[in-house]
Amino acid sequence: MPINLSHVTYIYDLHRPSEKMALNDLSLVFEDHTFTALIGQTGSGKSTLIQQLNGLLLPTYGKIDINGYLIDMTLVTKKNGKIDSGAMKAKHRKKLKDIKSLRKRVGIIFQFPEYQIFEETVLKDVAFGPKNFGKKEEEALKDAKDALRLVGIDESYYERSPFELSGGEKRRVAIAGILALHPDVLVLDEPTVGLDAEGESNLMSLLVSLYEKGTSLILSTHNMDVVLHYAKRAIVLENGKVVYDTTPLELFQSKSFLENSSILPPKVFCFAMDLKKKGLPIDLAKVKDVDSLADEILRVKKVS
Amino acid sequence: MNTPLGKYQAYKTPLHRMDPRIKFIAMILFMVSVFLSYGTPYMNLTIYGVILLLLILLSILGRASFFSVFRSLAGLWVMVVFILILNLFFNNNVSGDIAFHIGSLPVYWYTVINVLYIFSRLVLVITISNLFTATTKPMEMTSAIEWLFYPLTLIKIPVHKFAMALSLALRFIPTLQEETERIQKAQASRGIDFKQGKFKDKITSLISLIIPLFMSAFTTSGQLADAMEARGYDPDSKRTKYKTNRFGSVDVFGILFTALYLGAMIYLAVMKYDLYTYLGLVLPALK
Amino acid sequence: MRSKKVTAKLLERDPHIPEDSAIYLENLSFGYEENRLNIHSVSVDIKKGQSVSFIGHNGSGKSTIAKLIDGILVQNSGDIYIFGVKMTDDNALLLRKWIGLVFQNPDSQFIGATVRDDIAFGLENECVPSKDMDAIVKHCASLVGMEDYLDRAPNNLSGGQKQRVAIAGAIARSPRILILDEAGAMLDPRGKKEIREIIRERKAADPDLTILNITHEIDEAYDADRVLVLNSGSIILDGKPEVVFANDTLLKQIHLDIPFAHKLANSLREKGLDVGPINNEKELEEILCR
Repeated sequence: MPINLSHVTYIYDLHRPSEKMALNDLSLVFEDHTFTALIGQTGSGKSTLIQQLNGLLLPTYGKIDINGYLIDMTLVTKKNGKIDSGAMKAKHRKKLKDIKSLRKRVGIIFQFPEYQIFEETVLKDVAFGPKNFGKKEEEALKDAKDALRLVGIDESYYERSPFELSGGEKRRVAIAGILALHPDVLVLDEPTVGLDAEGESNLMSLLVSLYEKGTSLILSTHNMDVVLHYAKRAIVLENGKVVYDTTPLELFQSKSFLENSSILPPKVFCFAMDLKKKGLPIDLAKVKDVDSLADEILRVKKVS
Repeated sequence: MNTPLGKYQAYKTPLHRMDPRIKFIAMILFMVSVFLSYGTPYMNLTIYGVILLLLILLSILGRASFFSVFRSLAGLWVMVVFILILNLFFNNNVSGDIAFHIGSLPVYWYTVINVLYIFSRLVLVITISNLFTATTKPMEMTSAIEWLFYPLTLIKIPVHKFAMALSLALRFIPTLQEETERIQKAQASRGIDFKQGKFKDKITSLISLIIPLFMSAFTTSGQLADAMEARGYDPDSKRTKYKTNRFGSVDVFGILFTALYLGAMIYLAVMKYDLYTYLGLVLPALK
Repeated sequence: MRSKKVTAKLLERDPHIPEDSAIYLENLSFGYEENRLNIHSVSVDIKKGQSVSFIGHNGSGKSTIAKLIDGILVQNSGDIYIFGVKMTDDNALLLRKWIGLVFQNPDSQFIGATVRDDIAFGLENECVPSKDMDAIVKHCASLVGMEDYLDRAPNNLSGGQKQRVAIAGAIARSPRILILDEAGAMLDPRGKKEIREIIRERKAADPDLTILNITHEIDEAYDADRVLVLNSGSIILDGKPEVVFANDTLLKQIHLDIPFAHKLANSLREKGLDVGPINNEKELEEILCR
């Protein structure tokens, strides 16, 4: 499901002393079946961008086309060089009545999703979403069970209170709550924060299997290991603008990125680059994680 | 909610700089002045008009959005109509002169003036408090209140504990607001529509918001208590106070202004001075 | 007000604790619920001026120990000595003056309405005279690079800035022991780095400061003089970083990350290339490029 943003500007607290531009005339296309990582410091506009993708925030100015679902704010007139949005938004909101259908197709998993849990049992909480989107009780429960299986929560948990689960389990239940909607595009905000190495690799392999089944994935992350290992495309945001839009491999080799950005490439990649600099003919494209780097080192050593 | 009513606006004006205690006392005195009687209804309403003009000037000085407050207060107009109706039916004094008729129902001058009083006092009180809250940080308000109620400690009322609780509550309002927004968005992504839907759906959406909010508020308050303890807070021990407010020329001016204002108002209220008679205008007596 | 004599009595050193000890835990046990212990008879002696990393997976009891040391929680059995003084109900508040504790969550430990007020909070509690506060507040704010944000409210600060303020608030009380309970865990990489640098600077400026840093970041743990590994409420490893991290099998078993160089060396070994024992990336790089 392609998503096309054109000239999207978003301003928080318009016309207030606290006014702040979060997205600045940003144009971007997420192609169908993408696996994209959004990278950027806090305040770069990542979270704002994510919330544009299922209409949680509507652009102050600009146009978003989500597989034919159009959110168009381009008709906003400018007065005295300032953007006037109020009237236009009110007019447009009426047209966006079926925004709910959009939210079914673009699922967002927020940072620390465990805070969205509220039902008295695990199963009920996961079935909450499907029911909201009009599924019958049984269907919703079936979707919930499927989603829980995906995240590795077994039947013995179904009737337990989600509040007595461990932090990691809660997170998986919360993620299942979105997966149960079968979204075409899955957007995740910092999904690996607070997980240990094992939890992280479990979550990422779940995402990979979803991707392989055809789900588009967009994830915002500070975790460059994840970006290198899994993402097909890396977009770097800075002050509400796209500054890099390339593959992780290109990004981490880009001189200007290394010099100007405060984001460091993953250790494994830096180490591989160092080895290469020192004369080992390592193929950087093959380096995804520690194991693949070890394989490369062995290959190179055998050749020589 | 996007109403700027009562919300602190972070501008830098002389009113923002003024000591919150002076502003707090001035606010109370201004409110008192609104409820004094200055003689004839004409005089009362004239003085209300003058006060309003003064407040508008002060609002401009403090960049406290005066007009938008009233535009956003839809409830106010409902209340005014309600007061009008109440007065028409229950407080319509039958002994005075009749001002006009609504259908066959006579409306007396007494009622008309009463409604005008209530309405103008309401507008004035809202303007005064808006002026105060828009230019004073919530924490400054607490410290002003604490200072004002300090004498109560003499009768063993732990004013500083209440003040601490109040300032913490104020401190965490924005945090809870952010949290609410966050949960709201997460639930919206699970198909909850907070704006539309049947009554039953509304209840569900409310529950889906309130339970996580409570959960996070409990966690936060536990962590906050730990953090306060870790920095040596003990509710029963003595504390010193960190004050950044230095007495400035703004404060002197504020005190002088308030005193002058109060003096003038008391003078007018005591003398019941009638400007209109003095000007030779004979206005119909409204009884 | 307590008389000086009473205070001196409350702060009397216990002769059996070594002179150079900052935090001395003796058979410390604690449980949140009645018949389940979360901390099992922990004994450790952290020396004055030591910089100690405390690692262990979520729920292993690291934060609990931090709170016990600060007297926020009270142990079921065992003893805590701060600079040789045994902690009791009567002197916990006094001992706490020597300890600064920074927590994980940037929002819930921001007590004041502004940066200024938050840094001053601890000073107010310690009855520092009002006229002295401003200078201390400004000085501490500048130590963490927040001197230009003194009048900002927390909701206009980033997570990293809030944590820096929390550190300023802790050091304003001039503690002799600084405990950081995953102070960087909720921050982005830049925020984490800033916190790390501030701690490093503090330590350089004041070598006598004892630091206990609870962390998930392996590299950060490596910075310390000493690493303690906690698992299910017991200390299972204790020693210099290079010694502790040499136990990669054990660390892996308890789901802890190991340093990158060790990880790569292990992977190479499994695949049939034995690089021998290595301590850091530089060594590994040299071996591989030979």
